[in-house]
Amino acid sequence: MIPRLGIAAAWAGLIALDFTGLGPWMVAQPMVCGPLFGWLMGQLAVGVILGGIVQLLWIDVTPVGVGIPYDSTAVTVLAVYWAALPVHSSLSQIVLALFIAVPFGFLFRVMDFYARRVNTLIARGIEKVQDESLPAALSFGILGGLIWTWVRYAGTYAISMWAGQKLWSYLAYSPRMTWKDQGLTMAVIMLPVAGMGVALELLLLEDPEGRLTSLRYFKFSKDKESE
Amino acid sequence: MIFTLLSTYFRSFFVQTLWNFERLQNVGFAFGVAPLLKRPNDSRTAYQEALRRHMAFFNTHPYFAPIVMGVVYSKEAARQKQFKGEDPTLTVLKDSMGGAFGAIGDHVIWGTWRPFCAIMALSVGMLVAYPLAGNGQQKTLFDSASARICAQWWVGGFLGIFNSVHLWLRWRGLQKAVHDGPLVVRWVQSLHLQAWAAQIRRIGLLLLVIMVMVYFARWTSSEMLLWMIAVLLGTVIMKRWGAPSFVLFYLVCGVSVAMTLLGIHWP
Repeated sequence: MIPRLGIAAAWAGLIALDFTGLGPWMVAQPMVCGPLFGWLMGQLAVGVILGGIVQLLWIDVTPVGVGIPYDSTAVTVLAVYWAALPVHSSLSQIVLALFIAVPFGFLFRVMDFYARRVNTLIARGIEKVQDESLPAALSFGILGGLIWTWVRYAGTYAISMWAGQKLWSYLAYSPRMTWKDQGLTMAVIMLPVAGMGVALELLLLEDPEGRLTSLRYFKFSKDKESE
Repeated sequence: MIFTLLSTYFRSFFVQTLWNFERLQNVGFAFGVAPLLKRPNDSRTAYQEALRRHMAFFNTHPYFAPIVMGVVYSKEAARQKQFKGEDPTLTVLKDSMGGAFGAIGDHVIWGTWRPFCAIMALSVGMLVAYPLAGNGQQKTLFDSASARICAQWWVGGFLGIFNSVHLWLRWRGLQKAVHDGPLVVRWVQSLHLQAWAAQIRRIGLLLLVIMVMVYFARWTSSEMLLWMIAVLLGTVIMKRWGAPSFVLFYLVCGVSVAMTLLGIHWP
């Protein structure tokens, strides 16, 4: 279990570099990282199902301005990890994994907010160096920033994967909850429809960036920092 | 010059690596513009001083950062030719361009191009993979064979289409900005990004309607179709009212489970 968790967290940390570390190339988009992570975990179909659902439902989440968006990548990666634990997962077990993973999107956003404070400390350190050392300090700072991003994401993923695994295993194999299995199996049909509704509404909007999904609920911005 | 441009182009991918709350992308910008600043500043001291000047606050859309880097190079080169003193207009120009390109990038790239590419790849992948999907319960989404085909279209299609424009914009923008300086805004205007965005949204809407029809066509039961239409319209209305996606997710799951608990079976 531990080697699998460690490898999964390491890969998840690499995927997370796509946010701000390097790019962004859109590898962290759910429809890309879902199948990719599902394939790495040996269950491509699980990754496709979860990646597609999350992509559609959270298609309007964008890093507008200085806002830190809800982390739909973390939701996808964690759900795929838990749902891919058995050799074959039922549809209800796949949705159950997503059910547990959704709050982690907020947790990862909070983590990112505090991690960017560490970035501030690194940036201050670079600004303090002498002029002659500045080019080298910038290169080391960027390298340090990349390593720091990977470490914090891989660490948070490892803890989240371990914690959620216990809950998912308990609920997924609870024999008294057949009503839940039937209900979630039907939900898996309706969730893509709901996602298409979200996409439809986004495309019908005049100013898509005006929604500011990323800023609406937790305004992690410079203003808040200065409060 | 080409190696300098390539170096800046490569470094511009790190513009957000040390994003911080005080000066946002300042470290990434200075890191990216460093190879360009070496050229006009003949002495090592002048180069280091120029680099220090560009450690100030900076923020823009990451794909437009190379354009601002190119403009900075152009202005620094002009400054070296005309006078050796500090150019106070450069900071103002950098900030105003960063803000303007940030707004354009949010609207065109994040608000339009990214969702369009996602919908296009999702719909094409679904159209290709769905006929190969299995029967029974698995037909609701994908089996392993169709998932493989779908994943190839999603990953390859989305990354390919999105990044072709992304990489072109970065490279061409950098080249134009180095050549034209602040007049690069004319080139950006000539791209008619706002008009393109409106057209892309219309095509995206059409693709989405096709995707909805393909998905709905899998179910022959009229009751099921009614449920799906209700969920689709309900989501659009709730989203318009400002409901976040996680609420919609739990609502769909909750209603499904509640109906099962109450003994009401889906058609």
